[in-house]
Amino acid sequence: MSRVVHYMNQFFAGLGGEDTAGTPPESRPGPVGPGRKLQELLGDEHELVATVFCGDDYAAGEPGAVDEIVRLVQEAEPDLVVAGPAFTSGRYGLACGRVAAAVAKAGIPVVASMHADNPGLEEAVPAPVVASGEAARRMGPSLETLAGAARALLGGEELTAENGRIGAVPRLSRVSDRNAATRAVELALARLGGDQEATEVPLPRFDHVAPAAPVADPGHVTVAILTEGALVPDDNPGRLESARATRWLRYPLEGVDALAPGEWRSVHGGFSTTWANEDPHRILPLDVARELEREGRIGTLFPAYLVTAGNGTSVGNARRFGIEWAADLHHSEVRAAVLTST
Amino acid sequence: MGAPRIVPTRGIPYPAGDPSLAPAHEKAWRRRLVERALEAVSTPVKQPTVFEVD
Repeated sequence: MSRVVHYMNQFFAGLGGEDTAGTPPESRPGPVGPGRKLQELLGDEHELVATVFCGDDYAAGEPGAVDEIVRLVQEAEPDLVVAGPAFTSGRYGLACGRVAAAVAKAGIPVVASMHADNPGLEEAVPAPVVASGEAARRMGPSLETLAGAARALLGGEELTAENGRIGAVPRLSRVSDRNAATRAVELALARLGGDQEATEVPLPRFDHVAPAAPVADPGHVTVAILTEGALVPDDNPGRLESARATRWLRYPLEGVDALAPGEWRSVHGGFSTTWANEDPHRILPLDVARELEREGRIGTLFPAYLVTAGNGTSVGNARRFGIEWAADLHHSEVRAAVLTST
Repeated sequence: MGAPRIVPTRGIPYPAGDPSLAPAHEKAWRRRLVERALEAVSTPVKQPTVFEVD
């Protein structure tokens, strides 16, 4: 009998929605929520021995959350770990992707389930991901795909598109029986024949952002100021990169009413920073935001700002920053944000 | 850009300023930008929408 451990978020574990999104990770014996159906589909020879769950905000935003989750997973001594289905949920997908990647690096077989548009897909590498539907109403078929993939992995098979596998497959060297010239001409002919999809190098997909609902009155809520203009304390203590950023940083604004030249600078590598360094408010409008706060036009100015360098940033990292910022700000009860874009 | 609410500004190196203006005028311009951004976050939108500053 093989031992399977299931990772899911607080919502599917039955704890609640946004109000419980800060819940730290926890482990329970046996299947929970959608895990019960998954156990049925896995059959008698595989036992879902434990369910590890964590709040979406905690999993996506708390440093060390993934390590805590993986420790709980390992305590259950799994032969296989399954994560999700996360559908198109951003924070949940990121958590599933990161947990799957960390579990795979620990040498434990793992598969995650999410929709192809979920940003967690890129985080899962090198772990395999299989497709789920867009939303929980597709739970049934999504669990069937996941269970099929789990059985295949436990049977020692590699997952392929036939198992529903999606996303980047680690690149392996392989000898093709047709040389590059032949393949290039075949692709050109396919395109001339009307095939718009055929490629050997799939490009990242750009998705649609659903606008947030408006706030009734900024004078009654916490408002944050953010920037991708790479404005940091003069010695750049967090070592923000000037291009192709892999990180974002948070710097306190508590008790700061203005950004003095010489104490702050932009490390952005994509434009001349002369004007930004002469007056840092040209990047981060703290001076007028404080005025508006004093006048009651802004309820409370969030006492920190979030910053990255928006310069040749990969789509994957940019989506991750967006989800992490949203989780961080939501958790801090920020209800509106003004992000300056260079 | 995909951002749902956009306030256009005057240049990539100074999204919250305009170095061609005298300091007091530049600050007034910055204030109008942030005021417009506060109006934008209070306005329902269905797709990417530009909130020009008059």
